[in-house]
Amino acid sequence: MLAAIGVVTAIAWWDSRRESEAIFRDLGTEQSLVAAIAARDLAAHLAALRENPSLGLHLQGADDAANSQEVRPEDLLGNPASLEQPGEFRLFLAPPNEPSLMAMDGSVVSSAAVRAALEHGLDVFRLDRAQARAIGLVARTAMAGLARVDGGSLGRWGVVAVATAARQRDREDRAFWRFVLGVGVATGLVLAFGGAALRTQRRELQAQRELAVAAVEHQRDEQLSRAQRVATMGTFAMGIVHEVSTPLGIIMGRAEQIRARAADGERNVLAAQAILGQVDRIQTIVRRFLDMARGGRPSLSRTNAAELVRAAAASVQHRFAKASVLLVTDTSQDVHEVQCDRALLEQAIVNLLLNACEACAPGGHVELALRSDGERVAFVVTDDGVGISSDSAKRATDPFFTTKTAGTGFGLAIASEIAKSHRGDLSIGPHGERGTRACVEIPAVISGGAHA
Amino acid sequence: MPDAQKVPECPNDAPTKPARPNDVPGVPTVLVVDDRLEMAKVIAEELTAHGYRALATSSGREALERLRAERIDALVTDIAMPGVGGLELLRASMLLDPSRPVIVMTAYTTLELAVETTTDGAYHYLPKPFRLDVLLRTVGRALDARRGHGEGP
Repeated sequence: MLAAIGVVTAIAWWDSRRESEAIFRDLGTEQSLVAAIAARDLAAHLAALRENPSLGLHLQGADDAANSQEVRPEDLLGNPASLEQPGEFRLFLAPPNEPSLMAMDGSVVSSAAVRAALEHGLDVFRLDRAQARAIGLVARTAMAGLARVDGGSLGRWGVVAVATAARQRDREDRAFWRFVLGVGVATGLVLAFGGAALRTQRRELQAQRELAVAAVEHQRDEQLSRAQRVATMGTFAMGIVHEVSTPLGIIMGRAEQIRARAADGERNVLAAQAILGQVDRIQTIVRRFLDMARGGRPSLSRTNAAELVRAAAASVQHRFAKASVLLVTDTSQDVHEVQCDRALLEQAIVNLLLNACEACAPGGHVELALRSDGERVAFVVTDDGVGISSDSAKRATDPFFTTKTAGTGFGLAIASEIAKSHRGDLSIGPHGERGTRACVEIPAVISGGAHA
Repeated sequence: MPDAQKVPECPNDAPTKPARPNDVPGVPTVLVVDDRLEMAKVIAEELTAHGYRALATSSGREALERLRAERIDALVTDIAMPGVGGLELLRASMLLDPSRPVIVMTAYTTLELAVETTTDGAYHYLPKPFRLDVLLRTVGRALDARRGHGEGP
């Protein structure tokens, strides 16, 4: 943009220079025309003087003239004094054999340059500022028109009309500065509008980026809550199956015993048979419910515990960023693999992390560390948040227990259930001066088994 | 999950009455462990009714002590129990007497768990709920195998 402004300014400069050259040329032509007209008057006067010698000739200011007749220079040129414009335009007579120029008001100036131009027979001559000032004009470049008159016995005369281009130049200059101002204003406007447009565009881009980030965050939140729902369902289903299976086993066993003892009494056998049939039915329903809650994914698999930690941390990273809480993971300790339902165990850790995050003020710290004593693997979440009272710690894993205004009270209950279903435990307690420590501990996979 | 049934009666629960554990040499002794005592009792009664000597307990810790102190020919245990769990009992039993059959039962039924427990040395794996006659057959086969294994040569 700056280059474009430079080019436009250069073109304007060049154009104004060309324009002023044209003005000088025209001015020169005009002056030579004025000089030629004045020269014709002069020639007529000189001729009249020659025919009537009694008139004689004595130019005012020319002391050494032989003739007595006084003639004012303006008389020789008709009445050109009206043409004079002080400082702008002057008309001179160049009498024969004299180095000076005689103005219409009778004053005498000398200009060697003009005399030389006359003698060289030039019609147009350009005067620089100093030369213009020397002949009584304003100090601007001026153009002189030159004409010569042969007065016969009265000698060779010259007529010089000089004008400065001051007015044209002033107009020109004003036009130029107007132009510069115009360009400047236009440039300013372009810059201002361009800048504003650029800023608007940048702001729009920023807004778009923020929208995209919000969309991604929203998507992650959706994923997170979907995983949470699935985990909740799965955990409940598993809890139900576990809770129901043993009582069903007891009912089944007792019914079988009744049937065995009542081998002769037909009605008791039928009753026991009916009980067994209904137990089968309940069992089928409960198993189907469990399968549905699991969504058909494999339940247990050998999983690298460090990988699990990374996955859990990644799925809550955006929440921590939003809350300005720092999450660090420590997987430095070499840890066995764990046999787990990957999605469920990850969800248990996620629930602990979210709890820790919500307990922290902006600038808080949460650490997720992997610890193992070889037999058990612990996922330990510590925070420096609001802390937990011993009473709350005891009740933390009860369903519906919450200290948060927006909490459902399920997070830790689910985590606890998931831990139990992996033959593990969830423990919660204070950490340091303030802050909380939550730990899911499950058995490690002991490589090689216990065959020996 | 709270355990309402884990109450005073649990420690001493052999439905049969022999004063000394080892005084019926021909009758195999089966230890049944389930944190729901009623479940352990049902199984123990059934085993007793079919000629075994059966001990029922709801405590993994007590079961561990009995495995160490008494002659137990077979162990039937639940997996998920508070404190000492079924897999710990299984491992302890394998260390104390590798030839003693261990039958595990659990409500958390997954194929992988079955594989893990059997690779850990369990003789058989029973998903809850199961038919008592299935359990009887399993215990019977397990003891036959032990007898064949122990007395064969």
